[in-house]
Amino acid sequence: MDASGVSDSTDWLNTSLPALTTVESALRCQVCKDFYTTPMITSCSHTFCSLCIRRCLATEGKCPTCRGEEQEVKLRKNWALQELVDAFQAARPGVMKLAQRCNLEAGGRLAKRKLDDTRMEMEEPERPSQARKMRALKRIPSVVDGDGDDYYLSDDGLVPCPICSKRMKEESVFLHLDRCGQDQKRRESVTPSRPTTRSSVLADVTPQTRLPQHVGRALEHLPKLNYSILKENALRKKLSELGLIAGGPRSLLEKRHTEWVHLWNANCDSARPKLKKELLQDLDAWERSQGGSKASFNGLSNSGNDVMKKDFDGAGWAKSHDVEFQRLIANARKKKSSNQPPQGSKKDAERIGTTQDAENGAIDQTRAEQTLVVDPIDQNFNLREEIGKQDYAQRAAPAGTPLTESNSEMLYGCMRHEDIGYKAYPGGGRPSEGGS
Amino acid sequence: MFASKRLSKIHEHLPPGIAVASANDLKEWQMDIRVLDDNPLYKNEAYRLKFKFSELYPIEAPEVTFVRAPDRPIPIHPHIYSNGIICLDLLGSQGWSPVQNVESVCMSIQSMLTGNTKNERPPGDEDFVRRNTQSPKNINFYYDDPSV
Repeated sequence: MDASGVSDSTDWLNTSLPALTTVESALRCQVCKDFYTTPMITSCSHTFCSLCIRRCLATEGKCPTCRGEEQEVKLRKNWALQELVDAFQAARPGVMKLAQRCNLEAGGRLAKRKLDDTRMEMEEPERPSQARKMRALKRIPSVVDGDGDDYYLSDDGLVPCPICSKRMKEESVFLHLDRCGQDQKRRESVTPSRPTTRSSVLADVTPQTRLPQHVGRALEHLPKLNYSILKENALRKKLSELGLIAGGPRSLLEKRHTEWVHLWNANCDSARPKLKKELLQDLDAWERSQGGSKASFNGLSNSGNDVMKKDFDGAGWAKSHDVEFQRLIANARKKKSSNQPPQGSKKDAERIGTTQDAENGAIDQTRAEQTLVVDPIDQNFNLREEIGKQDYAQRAAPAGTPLTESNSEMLYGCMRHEDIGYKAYPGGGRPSEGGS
Repeated sequence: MFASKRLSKIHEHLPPGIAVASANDLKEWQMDIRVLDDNPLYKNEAYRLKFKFSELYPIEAPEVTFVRAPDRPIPIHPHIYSNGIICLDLLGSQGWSPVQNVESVCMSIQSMLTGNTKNERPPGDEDFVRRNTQSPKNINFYYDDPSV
């Protein structure tokens, strides 16, 4: 681990056990790069954290590794891996400490040993492979002597047994090892869950209790909802039944529910399920980082919300965007003079000019500007596609305005013929006063 | 959340030819890449890549473009527009997979450059660069060249 407190498989690279880099990276989820949390195996035999794979599948119904088709219901728990991850994580700090210390102490000796080796090789003339085998054989003990035991040497000239850490003379270690190994085996057969490593450095490793193979009170997975057939009120009711916040725009409700289903279902898979309270905290964290309070999250539907807020500074907004308003007004005037506007909208169109000067002009401008900000000219096409003719007309007109054939036609017409035009239309006007 | 696990460690153990230029926050990173072989098109040059991560990374692909900087030109390649936009399927929503990471993307682009022999821009480059105001992720590329 480094200063940032984030552990990573590359932590092993500069220790005496660089091979553990690959061991550790095999124990990490490829999506979140963290150790597996409740690993689930897919039907294509790839493994991910339960929450990660559920989020991935919700976005794209494919395995992130091989792109094979996959469904959430096909996921199965990978208990063996969970145990392995837990055990490794528990052992990690101790092993890391050992590997780092060992690296420091062995540094000097290692260099010396390498030198010896090369000299030996240089002295030996080139011989066929038989001889090379012999040489390899010869070298094995040198590795054990030099490398393996070096760091155990300390001032008293004694070395600890690698199994039971009892200190003794170097010569007697091998003799002792035979006995110690047997003792250890005997002990294990009595208490199989005892940790096998007992060196002083590893003493802080807590004995691993086996994971429960099934949770006592089985938690039930939540079904996914088909949001398109669900009315907004029904969705709100559903959320409050689940104990979640039922406020916010519809798109957020759907996202919140989806995330909750992911969190909940991943928790159902877990060997150590969290309390609902903790899950709610997780959801809250999600909400703050990616959900509704994040203004940038859903540009189209959210950037308009500011304008709707009670404390929105309408006058300030009107002032800072004055140039754009003037341009819009000018455009609308030009359009009015060049085009004969359709029946019924003539008076409304005139109002554009008059209301801008009136007291409440700022508010109307605000609304007009709102649409401008939400959809820059380039995206008008998308907007039009998304909300459609009727819907748009309803939005543009203030609440309670009866939607007549003529003003719907007019609004949509403006939009189609000149993209700027409809924006200058102040909040749909008040056709009940001015029009028809 | 995910972002914090994008590992500050990346600085230490990167493959050859890839280096972090700046990574001050978890929203945007800049990386320098070099082509390691003797390809005359890219020899002795370094190029700067800009990664923009959304909140949904790694579920969602990062936005990756080349950026111009002193000593950092936009590499010439039939799939790289002169404004730095890269046409590479793994950066699109179809080709992206959450198992990819900054390192793997850099390596893909590195190898995309290494394998290229054509000293040319994509067809319609000028026109595209003039018109383009969209974010690269919203452009629908038609991936037609399996040789990359």
